[in-house]
Amino acid sequence: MKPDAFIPAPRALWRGAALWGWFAYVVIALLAIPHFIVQYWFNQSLGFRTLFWTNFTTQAVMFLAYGALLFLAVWFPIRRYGPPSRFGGGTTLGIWLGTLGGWLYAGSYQQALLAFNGVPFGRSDPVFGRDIGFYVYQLPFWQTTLRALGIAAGGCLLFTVIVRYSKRQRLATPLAVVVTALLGLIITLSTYLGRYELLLRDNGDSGVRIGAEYLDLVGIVSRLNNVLVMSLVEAGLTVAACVVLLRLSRDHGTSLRSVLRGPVRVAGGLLGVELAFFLALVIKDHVWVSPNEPLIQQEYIQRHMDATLEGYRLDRVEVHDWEPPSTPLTPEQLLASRTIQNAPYLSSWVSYLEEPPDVQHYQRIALSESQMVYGPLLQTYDQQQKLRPYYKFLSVDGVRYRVDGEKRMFASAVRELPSRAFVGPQEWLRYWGSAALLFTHGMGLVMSPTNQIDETGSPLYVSKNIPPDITNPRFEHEPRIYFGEGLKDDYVLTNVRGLQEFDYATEQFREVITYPEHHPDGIAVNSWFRRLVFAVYSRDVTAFLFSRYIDHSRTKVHIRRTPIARAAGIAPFLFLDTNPYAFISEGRVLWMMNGLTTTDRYPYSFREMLGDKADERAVERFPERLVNYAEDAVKITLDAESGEIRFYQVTDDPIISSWARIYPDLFVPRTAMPADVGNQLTYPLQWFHVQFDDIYKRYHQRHPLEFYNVEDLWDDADETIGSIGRGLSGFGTGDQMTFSYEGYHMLLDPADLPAGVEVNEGDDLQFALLMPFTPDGARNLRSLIVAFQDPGQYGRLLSLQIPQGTFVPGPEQVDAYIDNDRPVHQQVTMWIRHGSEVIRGNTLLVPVGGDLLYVETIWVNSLQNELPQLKLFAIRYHDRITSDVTLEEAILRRSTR
Amino acid sequence: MTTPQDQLPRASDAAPGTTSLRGSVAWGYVFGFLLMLFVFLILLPDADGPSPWDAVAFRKGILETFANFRILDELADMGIVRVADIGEGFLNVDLDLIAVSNRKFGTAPFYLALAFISLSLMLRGIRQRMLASHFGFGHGVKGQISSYFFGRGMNLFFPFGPGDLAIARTLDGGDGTGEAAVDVVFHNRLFELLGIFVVLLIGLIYLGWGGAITTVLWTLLLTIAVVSLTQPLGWPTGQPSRWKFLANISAAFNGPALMAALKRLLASPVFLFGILVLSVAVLMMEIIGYWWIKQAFSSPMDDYVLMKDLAFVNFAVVIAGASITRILPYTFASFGIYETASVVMFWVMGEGFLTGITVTLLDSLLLNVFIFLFFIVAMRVNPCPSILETWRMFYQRSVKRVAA
Repeated sequence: MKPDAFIPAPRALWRGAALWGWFAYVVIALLAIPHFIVQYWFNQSLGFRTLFWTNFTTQAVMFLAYGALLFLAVWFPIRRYGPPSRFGGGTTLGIWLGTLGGWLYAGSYQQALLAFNGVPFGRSDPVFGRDIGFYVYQLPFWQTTLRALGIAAGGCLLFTVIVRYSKRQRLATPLAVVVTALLGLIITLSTYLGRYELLLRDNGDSGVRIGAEYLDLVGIVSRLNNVLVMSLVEAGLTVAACVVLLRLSRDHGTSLRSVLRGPVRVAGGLLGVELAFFLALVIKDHVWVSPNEPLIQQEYIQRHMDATLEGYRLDRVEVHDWEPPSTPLTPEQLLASRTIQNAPYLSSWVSYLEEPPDVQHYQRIALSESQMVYGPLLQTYDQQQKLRPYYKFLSVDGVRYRVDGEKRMFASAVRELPSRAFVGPQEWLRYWGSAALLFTHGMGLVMSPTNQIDETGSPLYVSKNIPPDITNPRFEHEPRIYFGEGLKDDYVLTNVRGLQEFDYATEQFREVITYPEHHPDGIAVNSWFRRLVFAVYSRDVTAFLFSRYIDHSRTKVHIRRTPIARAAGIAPFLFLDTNPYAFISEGRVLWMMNGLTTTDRYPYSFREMLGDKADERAVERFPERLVNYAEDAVKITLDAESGEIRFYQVTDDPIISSWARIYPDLFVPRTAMPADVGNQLTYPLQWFHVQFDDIYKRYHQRHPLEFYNVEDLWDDADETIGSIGRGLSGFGTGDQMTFSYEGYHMLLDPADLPAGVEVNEGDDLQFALLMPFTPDGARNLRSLIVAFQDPGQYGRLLSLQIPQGTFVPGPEQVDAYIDNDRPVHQQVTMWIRHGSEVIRGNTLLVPVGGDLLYVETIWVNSLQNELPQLKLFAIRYHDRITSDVTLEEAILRRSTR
Repeated sequence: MTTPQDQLPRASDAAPGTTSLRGSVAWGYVFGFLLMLFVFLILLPDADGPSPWDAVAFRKGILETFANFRILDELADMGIVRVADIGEGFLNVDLDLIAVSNRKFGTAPFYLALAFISLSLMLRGIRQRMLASHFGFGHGVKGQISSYFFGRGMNLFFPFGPGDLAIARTLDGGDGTGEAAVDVVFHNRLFELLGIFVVLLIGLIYLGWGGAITTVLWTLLLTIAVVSLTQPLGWPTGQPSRWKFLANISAAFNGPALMAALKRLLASPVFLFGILVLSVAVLMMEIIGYWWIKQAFSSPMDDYVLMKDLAFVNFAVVIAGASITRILPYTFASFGIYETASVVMFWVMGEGFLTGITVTLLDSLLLNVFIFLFFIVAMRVNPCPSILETWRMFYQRSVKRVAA
């Protein structure tokens, strides 16, 4: 037999493809099922079992309903018109497509839950008078469902045509008529629903950036009426198509031309009407609308501005004029300011390049793999407090505690033991037993005040070493960190047979510990079935199936150990601000996360991307989300040792109220929040960024014409930051860069705020989030945004605005003044000449006595290792720069010439 | 149920009793694209993404592949993608991917790759000439070499391998049924297979028992997979069972005929050895060409080397293993089948899907471009049969065979 390539029969090819299709189907199903089961156990272990069943039943109903419909859409035409030899193939194809379609449709279960449980917003849109909830809850669900039904009808029609065509039979059948009518109806309905989309439409460069404008609504020739015309045309075309199919299916003798003649004329006429209407719209736009902008659009611009401010919750910003006094305070008065006394010059955050990085940072990306621009405290903690090779600090956060009756701010970092998935196959994590059974937890919080340094310029620790050495009983805490930011994609097993976990290193050996059995977290591995499920889920097949360490009577597996993964695993509908921070509450270390409810379907509101920004960038990424409405609605705490997670509902926003109605057991009311937790709330950083850096900088202009002409656009202020040079050879390496401000925390004395700002919290210091703005294209200060974060004032937003015609230098200009100051210049040059690295720190804007003082820190780093020390303070106040080794001395230098 | 009146009389209808293979031909194209979709939609997306269907992960994988191809910055220049939200474009690209795209391109290895790939193809043509000469085609060197590239070119565009018929027709100048012409085609395939076998054997011996066992298992699994898809090609008159894997492999590759041919060739050992050495050299040149193309798109200066930890022997084993799928004609240019097999083999060797896909696509692209060029040249320098007529003949022959 010689080789003889040929084209096989379709049936023969189908057999091979079907075999592999079924193989893939079974494999995917076998891999997917364990995830469902583990999700159930996970919810159960944390007390959220009902939440699982709510989701599961909704998904199951949607999957079965649409899967069955799609199956019928494929199977029925083949069964009805195909040869018996293809019935099996039809069933196979129906099951595959039904499963795939059902699965995809079930993926929109959150839309379905909201559509049937949505709490009204209590506000109506200005065009149709419908509650905003209709656009947020119902409209997306019905659009998805209509699309799904359209796919099913289209599929049914397609398979009817294929089967009939393959048998050389007439395409027109009663089934084809019915399905065509259904498809036409679905398309017509979808188009008709599209009228509501006018309120969500992106108008590109128009003054009305989102939503219906003049051309959409006014007069007979409008886009709104165009939608109506299109719906009628589609309905007419559907009728014409059905008439043609009906005639073809009944009359076998008539020629195709005579059958088509009438309906084609009707269809042509309908399309002509639609085309004429469309042309009239274009002419109206060019002749009547565009030449009369913006006056003709004012009403709609106003709607857009108002809706955007509502959507981004910026309608509650309090605007205060701020003109710094012309007479400076004396150094003694400055030093008496509690805001200055608490100035957080040991910055409790790390500055990274934005993700994605700006074009201006391209050179840095090309030269260095690190995207960290500035994080001296993180480096110092790493040098002084890491202590053992397996620990790591992943971020430093600013927290506040009341110590001896006084509120104080601290930098705080968790000493974590990151997972293999995070740090790679390090020596101590190389083996499964080490990674999963031994090195299970980190050890303790490291803390230092943000306004104190020792004589060498290093932080003064109030919690340090292993086991934690704590200077104040207020900071006593359970140090074991089983849940942390660096525990990505990994699991640990506790209470295993014959082995205890590594706890911490002692003077010459180590301590061991067993995870407390009474903690609720952890899924019991108490049967061979569970071992099998986890073997597939974790893909560590041999370990789970054959390890003798697993004791069915008490071993537990702990999964989803990062705060973000754990919260998202329970409440995937929330947007999680990816800046979890740890604090001490009643002797336990808790992680705090901000959860936001979002939608991108708020009528007339501008859309922006909510996600990770430069400062405090997440160790663990969370997908960005397009939004035009959001609310800082949920505060989530996670116990770092026990894994217990709580979702506190802190607002009555309609979306979170809807979710609370759907999942009645999920949220804890704010009134039940412990005081310790309430005192640690922070405003979500990423939300703050979007609110002000993306929206308010434009939408603070309140008059439609001012807004249309963009007369007062702002920009986030920049500062110069980073390494000035590393010895003479590395001088001017380009590491120092202009870097945009993000929100930074500070303790503010209300007395230091400009006159007219009432805080009404006595003389209590306020933990606030600040962010400066300059005019776009200029560098003088235009506004300082302040967000209060303490109980009683939480969420209050201020915009302290410098009058447009008044010059107050912006941070970048102050950086230039400091650069050119002779003593600072001499000192920096001397350090660099002697082979040190000099790092330019953050420039703080400190409100003091209704005035403004700038503080910049200068850090010196050894070239041998990364141990930055704070060596110089430069302040700028009323046109004068002074500098010294402490802030107090730098201020006192003002009294000398 | 349908009635006789339902039947639409059509002039193009086939005569009663004949089989239409249009569905198979369409499937031959669709299947290739489905496999490529599988590669791009399932394998490529970032493993860290929330799910394989996640749009962000999908986009990232595709864009990273473009960046690895060094064309992402060009796409940005053309306004097809925009960088970090700046400029025009359909997709927003992170700046670090532009940095990847801007990495140095190795011109010297690229030229070496071109040289090696073209040489390997030329040597295959020469092998055909030697076989033709051995089986009695005494004259027309140009025609004998051209026939090979004409055949490969046909396979580039049409599924199920009409190239064999094209070669036979070019050689015998008729309908391609001449015994000698068929022998040449058959033996060319035989030596291609033997070359792969020898390279695999050497590679596996070098890898040792531990390294070889996984590779052999996966190669076997992939071969079984491809054979089970193309089973009808090996069993013209039916099939024994889909579960008799080894018998199916043997049938798919015309095992008995191959063995018989090998026995016959043993009668002229010098010829056998010479062609075998040539076949191994041809395959090695192709592999080295692919290696160079991988190196051309690596950039040691930027600390970016595609498949940094993959030794050359492993690389050779992957290419040789994946090349088995090219012997069995199914999709046009083995589109989708070769790429999937190659990516999976790279994965077996510990390489990520992203780099696997990058290298595989570069290999396929380079080889197919060269085949196309040689195809054009072959048609220019030598009178070849009509492409469409050859395809029609192939189709009609298949119809008869399937009907039988």
